[in-house]
Amino acid sequence: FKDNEFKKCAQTSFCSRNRGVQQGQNFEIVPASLVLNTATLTATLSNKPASKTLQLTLTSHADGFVRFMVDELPGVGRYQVPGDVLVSGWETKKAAFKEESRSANQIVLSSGDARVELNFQPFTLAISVKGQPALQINSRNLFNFEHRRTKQDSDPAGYWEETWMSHTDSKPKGPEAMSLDLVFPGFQNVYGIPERATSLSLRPTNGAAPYGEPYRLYNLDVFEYLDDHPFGLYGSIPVMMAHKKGLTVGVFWNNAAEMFVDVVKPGRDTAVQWITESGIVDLFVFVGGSAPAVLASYAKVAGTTALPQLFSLGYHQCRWNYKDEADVKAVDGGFDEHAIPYDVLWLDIEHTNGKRYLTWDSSVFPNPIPMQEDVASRGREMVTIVDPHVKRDHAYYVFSEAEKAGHFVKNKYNNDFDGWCWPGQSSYLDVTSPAVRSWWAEQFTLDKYQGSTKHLYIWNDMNEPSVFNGPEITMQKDNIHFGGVEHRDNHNLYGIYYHMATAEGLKLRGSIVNPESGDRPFVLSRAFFSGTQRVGPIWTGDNAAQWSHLKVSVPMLLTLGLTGLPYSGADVGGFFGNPDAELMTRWYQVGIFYPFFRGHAHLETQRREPWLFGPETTARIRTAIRGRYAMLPYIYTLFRAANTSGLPILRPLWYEFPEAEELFAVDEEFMLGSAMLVKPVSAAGASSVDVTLPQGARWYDALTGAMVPPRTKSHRVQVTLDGIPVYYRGGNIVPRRERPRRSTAAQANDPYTLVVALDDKGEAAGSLYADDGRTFAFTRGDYLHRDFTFKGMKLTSTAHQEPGLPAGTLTLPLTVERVVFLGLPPARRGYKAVIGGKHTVPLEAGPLSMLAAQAENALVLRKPDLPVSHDWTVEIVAA
Amino acid sequence: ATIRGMNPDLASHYTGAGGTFACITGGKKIPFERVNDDYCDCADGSDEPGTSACHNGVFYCRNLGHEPRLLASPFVDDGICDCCDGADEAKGKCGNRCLEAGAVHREALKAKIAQYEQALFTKAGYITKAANFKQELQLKAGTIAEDIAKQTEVVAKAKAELDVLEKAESDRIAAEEAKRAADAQAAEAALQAQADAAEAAKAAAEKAAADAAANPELATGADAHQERKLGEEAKPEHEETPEERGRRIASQWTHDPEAAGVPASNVEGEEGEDGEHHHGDYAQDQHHDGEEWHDDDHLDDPLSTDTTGTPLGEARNRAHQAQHDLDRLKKDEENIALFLRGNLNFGPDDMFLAFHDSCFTSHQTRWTYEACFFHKATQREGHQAPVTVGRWYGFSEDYKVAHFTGGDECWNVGPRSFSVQMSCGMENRMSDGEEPATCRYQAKLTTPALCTEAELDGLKEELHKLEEFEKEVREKIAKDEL
Repeated sequence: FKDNEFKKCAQTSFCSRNRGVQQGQNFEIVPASLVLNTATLTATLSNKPASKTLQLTLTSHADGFVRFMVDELPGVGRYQVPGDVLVSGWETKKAAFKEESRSANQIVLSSGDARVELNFQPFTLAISVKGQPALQINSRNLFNFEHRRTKQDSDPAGYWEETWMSHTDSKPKGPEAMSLDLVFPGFQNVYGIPERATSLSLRPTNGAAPYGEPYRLYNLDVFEYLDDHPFGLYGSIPVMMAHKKGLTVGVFWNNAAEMFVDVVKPGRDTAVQWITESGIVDLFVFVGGSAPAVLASYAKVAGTTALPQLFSLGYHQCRWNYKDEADVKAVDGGFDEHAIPYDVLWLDIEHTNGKRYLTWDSSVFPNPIPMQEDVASRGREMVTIVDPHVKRDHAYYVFSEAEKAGHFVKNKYNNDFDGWCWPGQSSYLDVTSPAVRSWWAEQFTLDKYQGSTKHLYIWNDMNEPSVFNGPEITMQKDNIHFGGVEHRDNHNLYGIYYHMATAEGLKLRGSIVNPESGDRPFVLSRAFFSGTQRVGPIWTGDNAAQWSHLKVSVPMLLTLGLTGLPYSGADVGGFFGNPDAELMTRWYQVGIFYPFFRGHAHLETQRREPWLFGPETTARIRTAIRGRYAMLPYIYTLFRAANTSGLPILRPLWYEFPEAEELFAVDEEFMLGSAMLVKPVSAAGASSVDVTLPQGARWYDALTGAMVPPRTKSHRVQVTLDGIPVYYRGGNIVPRRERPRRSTAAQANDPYTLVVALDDKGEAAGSLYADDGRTFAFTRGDYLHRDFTFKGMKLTSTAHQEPGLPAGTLTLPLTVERVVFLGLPPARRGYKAVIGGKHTVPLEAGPLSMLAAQAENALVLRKPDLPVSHDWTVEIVAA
Repeated sequence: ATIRGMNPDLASHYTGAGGTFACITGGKKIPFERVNDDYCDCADGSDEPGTSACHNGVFYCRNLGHEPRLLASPFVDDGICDCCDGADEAKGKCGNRCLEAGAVHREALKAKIAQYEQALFTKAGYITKAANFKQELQLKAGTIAEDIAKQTEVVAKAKAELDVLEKAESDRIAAEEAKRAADAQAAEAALQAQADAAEAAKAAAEKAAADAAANPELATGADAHQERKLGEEAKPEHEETPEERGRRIASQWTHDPEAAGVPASNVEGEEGEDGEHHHGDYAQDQHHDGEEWHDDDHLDDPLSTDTTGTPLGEARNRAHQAQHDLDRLKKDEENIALFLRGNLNFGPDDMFLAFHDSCFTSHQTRWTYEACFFHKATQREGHQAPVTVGRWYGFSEDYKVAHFTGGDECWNVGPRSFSVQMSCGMENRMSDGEEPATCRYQAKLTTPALCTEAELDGLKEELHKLEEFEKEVREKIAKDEL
């Protein structure tokens, strides 16, 4: 990390002229301008000293949020995030405001559980939910809105031009920044605004360096990023969540320009100043009251996670670079030789002819199609990298076609922008243009992308965009996009648009190879924005083979889960540097819980395929990866919930235990869904770790099946190199597949195991989602979704119902081969199971899982052969 | 009925005696009908040799016609044919490819045996040659000091005679030169006088033109120009060009300049095929049939032909030849010190003497590695100067690895080092040069020197068994027993 390569607030005109500057008292509501029209309140917001008026709009939406907008009055065409970044349809679903009261200086509205108090002079706004204060705007007088102006000789430096290092930003529109002053009253913890390598609960920004700088949202390619630092990385989601006992509230500022966010914690409150360079104020306040409700509401606006192909939830093996076809064959064979499952083999930039993406270096990949077909013959897939910089070479068809069609981003002189990246001189596709995106999507059909097959998927890197010789390694802000938009306005959208266009390409290809049901795209991206979840996964970029990077991966991924982008992962092993066997082992043991699970390594590191660290480490990594594959039915079911309801996959403890204040800042443990708790081991040589097990739940050691009492004061647990502490939470039924196949495809016909972990009431519930794992057929109901409940000593399977979705109609000829009960009270002569009211089978004492046959702490129903697609009941009775 | 996937070596466990099966380890007993019932009962996986129910089960492929294989049970019934006889998948899913696989294997084995025999022949040559070479040196060792002393006298005498003749010759040449120089100086002086006159005329004309053109506008322009210049000079360093900046940032990510954005042209078809070349004494002589072990062949006569046949020319030849003979004796002395008394280890029977002064190269897409045994190893990119990646250190692991250490310093890592993994092969060939970790280089080398009789015998035995086995299977197939 080179601190001096990047700007700080003080070196940035719009930030330094607003940070901590009280201008909010200048703004007041003109009472006579107030118009309340069912769900919409409009008012004029006057900036008296500047003799300038703004339009304030407040809307109440049926999906659990209030939208607060401010723009200039009359409008001057300030930039707004285009509608296709978010989903459509939510705007019209409004919920009427009820006018509670109105006075000379105030109007009070309510909508559902939310109450909105708008004070006129100075302008402030306060929102409460279920009677609890949730959010105040401008209560610290830090609100500001810089209106467009004409250039004056007396204008301060930085208004119309700004130079940093060797780059001058011409700023033709002058200053147009905004500052939002948000206070979360009574909240001690706020979360969100990824991406940065820091704690889950955001630390105040008025502390010692580096926490004296505001958090920054500006997608950048940061070399060797530090692991405990507020600096913003490759992606930005302007979403923040605040949580306290009894209430969670979320905000989303739909704005794609550079942002700085200060967080301070005066008294019992958390106060935020949020400054952005351009655009408008478009703030969504999610008032559902709980974290799941906030996320569900946000998902109505930004969308839910696309249901990924099942293969993409398996293990991915990547390296910069697998050198040639023989190398690919050897690595693929290595997994079978060592009986380690994996699904996808990746090729980085060296596979191309001189970094001309969509081409192959024929000296090392002369026969890419047979290579892919060979890998696919064992049920596996491949991925190649495709980046948005296009080598300026007229002999390269992508460049010549794009240049001819005018598909590149322009510089301020309206010529094709010419920057430097991996291929040398490069131009950048202007993917903010819908026409460029459709053209780009067409490049992925099998006839167009030479050497590709339907088993080849795509990785988008460098889409911040990374420009090696640009300011802060990105594009000049006065570059020009489609529609004359300045790069400063939409910088944070470049990544999602490129990702979107590529995913559209794979969708298009999929609709050709499978006209009936299509093929779900798989495209990994590094840059992201709100809405990326609809497109594909992201990873946390160029981390390092250090324990601290393993550790920080957890809060980073938890934060992404809390901001609607749960399909994410960190490079297992760490990208830079050489991990030793212990770090490698521990990283895999945590990595199997990452929603996106990939090992990757830098060009100049030692080879590190899982079998290269000696037989003991190979065995441990094999156990870990097999553990991932055993969890896939559960993980895929969690992805379905993310897909339908916006729920996270990895969750902070407080998400599951929202009343336990001592958990609000815990980020050294996490939950996988609601059923499993994981404690990473992220220190060298650890022989024990401290584990917190929340009160109000029963916990079972996921290795031995032994019941473990809850302890909020963390207790010490001994660990060996063989595994990390993982627990089942009582009250859950978890579907598994315990045959460690070579790939997800090879698991398709395997039977299931159900782990029934009982709570204090002797009850449990869970579900299983399955479909073809590949196509869009599930959208028309070709899926299987079962709910399992255990209550009154009866285990039942029923069809899962979800309003607004077609009922699942898929029948799979698969069975449950084993039901494992944890926490059944001791019975003198044991138990037997009555299956379907007919035949009776005794429960046997056995291990929780045959994958690690430990103590026989479970009661096991052996081979009940329960059909997974049908309703059934199994009653447990004393023998 | 046969038990699917059962290893015949373990058949005694699967007799079904008493209607029970005892897990092979762990002592647990289960009813025998639970064997291969597609449910895992034994922690060691032994109750399910023929299904995928146990994660740690082992499926035995008979693979008649080829070779038996132990397959991890997760690969059983997963839709992918692993055993060549197809037994790991449902009947009809996979064909029997064992005889084909066996035939391929047999032919490969035959070819390997032939290569092995050739390699062992080459290796024997190395050893004989090394022995002869050493013997020769032994013979010379007794008299070398005396021979050198004698030859030194011969040289001194020849040089003295030559000196006399050379002196006479140089005196003659000096006289001629002096005359030529005097003539030239006179001519030069005349030319200079002409040139001085022309210069004076030109200066006068320029001054007149400048005076005529002088006006205020021009003066301002000159000042501005001056200022800009000063401003530029005030900057500490020259301004980076966009390309330089791009390259500098790219080089943060990798010190591989190719990966960091080299403009276009592929570095294909460059010089430097993988190969071996030689210099110096020992190895070079291998290419000659002669008995001369140290013919350094550098008789490049510096003299012009005009003295040939003259007394001076003959004296020169005599002196040169005497010196040449002395050099050869000195080289013998060096070799005696190095090969007979030195501490370089050339391996069993001195077989690696064959590598002395040999260099092997491995050319990858952009790097060429060169390993000169008993000397040093380098890495070179294109036509750039080579980097020394290590100096000869020695062998390890029973001569299977050769080490070069203490190479050029590498930022943050220390001296570079290089190791060569050696294995038996038909010819001396280096390949796969790479840098698995920063400034730690390695390559592979095949060499006949590492082939052994024992391994050849093993291969022959394997072939014999294979042929016998194949015959058996063919007979069985003929009798329809399979």
